[in-house]
Amino acid sequence: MSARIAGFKPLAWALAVVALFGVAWLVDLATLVTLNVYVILSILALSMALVWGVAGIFSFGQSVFFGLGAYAYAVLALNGQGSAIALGAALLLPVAGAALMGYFLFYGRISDVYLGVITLTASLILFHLVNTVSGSDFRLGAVALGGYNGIPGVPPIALFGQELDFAQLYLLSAALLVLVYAGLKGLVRSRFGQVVAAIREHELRAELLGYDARAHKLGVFVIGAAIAGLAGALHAAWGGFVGPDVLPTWCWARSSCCACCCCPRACCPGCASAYRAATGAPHERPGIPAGPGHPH
Amino acid sequence: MDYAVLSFHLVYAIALLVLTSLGLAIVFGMMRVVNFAHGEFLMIGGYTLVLSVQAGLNIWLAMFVVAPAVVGLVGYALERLIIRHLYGRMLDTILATWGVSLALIGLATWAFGFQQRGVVAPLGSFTLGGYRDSWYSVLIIAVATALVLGTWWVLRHTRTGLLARGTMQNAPMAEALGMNTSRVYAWTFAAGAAISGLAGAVMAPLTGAVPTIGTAYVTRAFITVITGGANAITGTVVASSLFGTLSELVTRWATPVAGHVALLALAVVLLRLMPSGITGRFFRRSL
Amino acid sequence: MSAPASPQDLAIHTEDLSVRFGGVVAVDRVNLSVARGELRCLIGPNGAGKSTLFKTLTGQQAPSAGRVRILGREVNGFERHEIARLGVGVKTQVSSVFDGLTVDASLRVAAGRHRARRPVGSVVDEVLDQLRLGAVRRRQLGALSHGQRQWVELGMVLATDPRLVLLDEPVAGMSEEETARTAELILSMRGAGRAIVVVEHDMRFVRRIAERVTVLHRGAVLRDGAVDAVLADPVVRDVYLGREEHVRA
Repeated sequence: MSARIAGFKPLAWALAVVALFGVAWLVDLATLVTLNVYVILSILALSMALVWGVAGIFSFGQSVFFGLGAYAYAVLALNGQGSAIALGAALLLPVAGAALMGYFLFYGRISDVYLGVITLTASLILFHLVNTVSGSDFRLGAVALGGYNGIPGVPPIALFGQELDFAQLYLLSAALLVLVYAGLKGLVRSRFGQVVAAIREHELRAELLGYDARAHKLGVFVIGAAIAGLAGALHAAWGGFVGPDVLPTWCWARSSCCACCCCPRACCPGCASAYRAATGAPHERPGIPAGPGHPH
Repeated sequence: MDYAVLSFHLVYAIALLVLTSLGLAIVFGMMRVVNFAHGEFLMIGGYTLVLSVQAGLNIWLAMFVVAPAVVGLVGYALERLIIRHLYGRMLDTILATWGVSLALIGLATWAFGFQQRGVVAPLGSFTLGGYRDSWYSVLIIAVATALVLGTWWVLRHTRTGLLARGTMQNAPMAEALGMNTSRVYAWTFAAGAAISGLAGAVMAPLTGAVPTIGTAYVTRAFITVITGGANAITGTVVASSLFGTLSELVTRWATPVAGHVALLALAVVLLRLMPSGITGRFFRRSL
Repeated sequence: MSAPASPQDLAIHTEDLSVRFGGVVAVDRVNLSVARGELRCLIGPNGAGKSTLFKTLTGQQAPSAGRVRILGREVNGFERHEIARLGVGVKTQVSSVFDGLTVDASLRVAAGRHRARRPVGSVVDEVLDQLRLGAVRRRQLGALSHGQRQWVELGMVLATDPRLVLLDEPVAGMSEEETARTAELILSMRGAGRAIVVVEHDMRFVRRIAERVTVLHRGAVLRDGAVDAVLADPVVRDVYLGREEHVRA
């Protein structure tokens, strides 16, 4: 990149951040509520950019962790635990799930398309199971899981004892987006991040240098799950509702446009915010023997 | 329980899976392209049948000639316009075909509306002892079998099939021998699409034609094909047999949802044991 | 030949190592001993089993029978990264590099596994000097020439300061000058008790760098000894030219 353009980069980023927050004072509430969901999905998209773009893991399961985060937040918040504990659980449950699923996947040396199918089926299994737990027998504490009806009346996030209104929730989401982005940028530049990129480029070579690819992939997978879970909790608080359709891949389909930020091409106009929030992950290189012209 | 009836239902369940997966298997197995618009190929085939019949065309002509031709054309266009630019980039292909799928569903909804259109299943029913079923189920089994055998025969015993297999194995070599590989890709994709169109048309009298009908089948087809592994025909048949049998047995014993979950769980187990699909481990030299 | 060292002191020691693929015996009861600090070349015609044997040493291929000891440790069943962590540096037959990363980034990743945990920056600088690739430091590996990529791969091996270096056809596809440069590089890798095993086809290259040579034929060790003696052996010549009478002496 030429020096002139490079010089503009920090300025452009500063403007973007100002715009992200400034919007809260410039638009009407209805538009702000819509923008809020884009910001939340951008956080989900960042988790995908990490798992797909940086680590090269074809996981169709990010929506699982999104859903687990949403349900964890809803159940704990409705059971009277404060926002802090509810949000904490929204991070922990997906992390636990990802640790389990990741161990199964990466230590079983499952990769590329086959990994995609297993994560897809996992999301579908979970979707079907949650769909069927309607009826008042299925309770966690005081909260009925609701099956296909979902859980209504999810309380909003409360900070320092005060419940956040729509505008404040937007600002919180925006702040978390910036934080997650900065954190991921740092992660990508760190030693760990460089090794993960190397594993994505050529797993065998990384292992021949002595790096345990399975452990590194598991680590990234878990971090991605935590971020997706956070987005899920925000989504539940935003809508005041959580239902089984946050789980399967059609939810992913909405942010799949956002996931195009894995590649340097922007798409979906509604996800312009997601593009702004792109981690700048390098152009994805599947590294799998795929397609015509590749002997397999 | 009457075992003959049970076997018939098992074979039927397997045939359904084979029918809805074969087109996707050919495209994935031969070209390593994951086509998420596969469900919409089924949908277009179904609509072609329903609309042709409503316009007065003979149902068998519509089913076995018109539907495959129409969807084959759509597939050819899709390959030329989009897929050929994305070979080797699996992530991009998935996203692009997903986008096409959404677009096609939107188009169908706009053109035909939400309500289901139907065609009566022809052929009537038969009785076997105390049991009654429709001849149409037999037709479905017959069509699935014919498609599998036909595809196998073409790949194994015809020059076209040999050229296609050669191109897929080693395209630069094929080109060096003078083959127009880009044409082979286009025709292979079109063939996979045509088979999916035929499958969609065959199933339309049972399911009706609705813009979202494809989504009901695409995940099951996707899972069957990938679990089957790289060898299109053997993989699909073996995976369909395993999934169809388990899913049907569990559905009889419990509920359809349980049957679906059992299929998914079996897929996870199989892929854990055979990380490259079934034909990555067994039947490796087959087609 | 010097007095045999105990298995503990050897860089590589295999006992009756065999690898079978279905009915095909790719490696047939190979007993290979490479001492620390030695430079050994592994040669043999195509299909002799060199690469399969190589892969059992790196952990890419599990043996069907027999034992493998690397740097004193028995490594049967070890994962690839576990063997690498014993202090083994590997260059694969098909160049395995991080195509999407820059030369600098790739070497940094490698230097992160330096045996003595030296600071990454200084290791990378040293390696780039030795390779004389400082000029292309910031370029993507995918954009380099074939020879340069092979050298970067050698650089990654060096950056970990290994005690055993395994090289599979390091000069495949290289020009005359590149081959000479690679020979220089490999010879400069010797020292500090570092053992080097090179699998190669190119006989001139083998003569240039080798002290001892092991010839494989049909999966088994045919001859083993000083390079001039082995390459002058008529049986070895026949095997390379395809005359089968002297097989299995």
